[in-house]
Amino acid sequence: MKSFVRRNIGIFMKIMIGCVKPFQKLQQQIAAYLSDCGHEVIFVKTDQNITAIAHEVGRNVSEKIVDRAIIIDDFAQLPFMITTKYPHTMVAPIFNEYSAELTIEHNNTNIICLGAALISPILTLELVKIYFNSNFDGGRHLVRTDMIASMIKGEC
Amino acid sequence: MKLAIGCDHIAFNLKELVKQHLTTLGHEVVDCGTYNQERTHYPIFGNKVASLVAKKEVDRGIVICGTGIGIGNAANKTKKIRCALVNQPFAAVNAVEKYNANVIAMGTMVVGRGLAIKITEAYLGATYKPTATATAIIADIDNLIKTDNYDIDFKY
Repeated sequence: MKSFVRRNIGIFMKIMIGCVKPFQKLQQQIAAYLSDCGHEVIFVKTDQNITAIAHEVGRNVSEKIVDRAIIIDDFAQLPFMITTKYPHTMVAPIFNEYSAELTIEHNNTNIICLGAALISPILTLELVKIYFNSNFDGGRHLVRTDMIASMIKGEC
Repeated sequence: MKLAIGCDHIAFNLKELVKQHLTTLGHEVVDCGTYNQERTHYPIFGNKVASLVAKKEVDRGIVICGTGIGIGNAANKTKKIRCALVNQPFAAVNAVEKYNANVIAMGTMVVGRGLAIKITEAYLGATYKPTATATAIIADIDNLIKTDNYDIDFKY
């Protein structure tokens, strides 16, 4: 596993975080880490349900208002189903270190979904660190991400 | 149950194992490929399985790639698909009971053969528990992609 050298230093991103109320503490911890790295963190209002949160994130990433986004709920299932329907999104529910690293290297993922009912807050923060410290490999993987991008055109 | 299953070259062996197990259990399985370990692209097979499910030619679908993320995105970016990426049997049950998930995605590099079988069994054993909220959420998801994007002839 790669060490947490800030390889992205100098590349500061706009990152949106959406979270349902019970996991706000975790959301704050993640936001603190990202701010420390120099990224701009934008919060989605927490006083709405996960469906509304997922739509807001999907729209913002799709329209490139933000660079990347994180959604935290219980199972990381509904946000995956909703945000994937928006054009220009690549969404990864991640539960382990392998997927956290591989999904940015191979899929160029711009939204990650975290299931707080499935993984601990400490592991969740670790996965966020790994994800934000890895980069897209391009090459043959670009063929596939282009194919995914071609599936939906200008809807939602 | 009638099922569609699909994978990329990385997940070929696990797909064969799951397919064989499903057949032993008495399910009818449509194998959408890939059929060997020659390098290919996951969007093709994700969309093939998803198309059969969306057109109601099969009851449910299973898609497998390295992490499950790439092929899960391919499935979800097909109209009328509610695909959940699952690493645990009880997450698969949650996806069906709450969101009537019609496809599940797994990662061959993430789950072992034993767990993959358990997840598959849990997924097929679960039934949707309809509520007014869930029905509204599902209708919303199914309407997000406006045009049918089935059996895409990918250019690459």
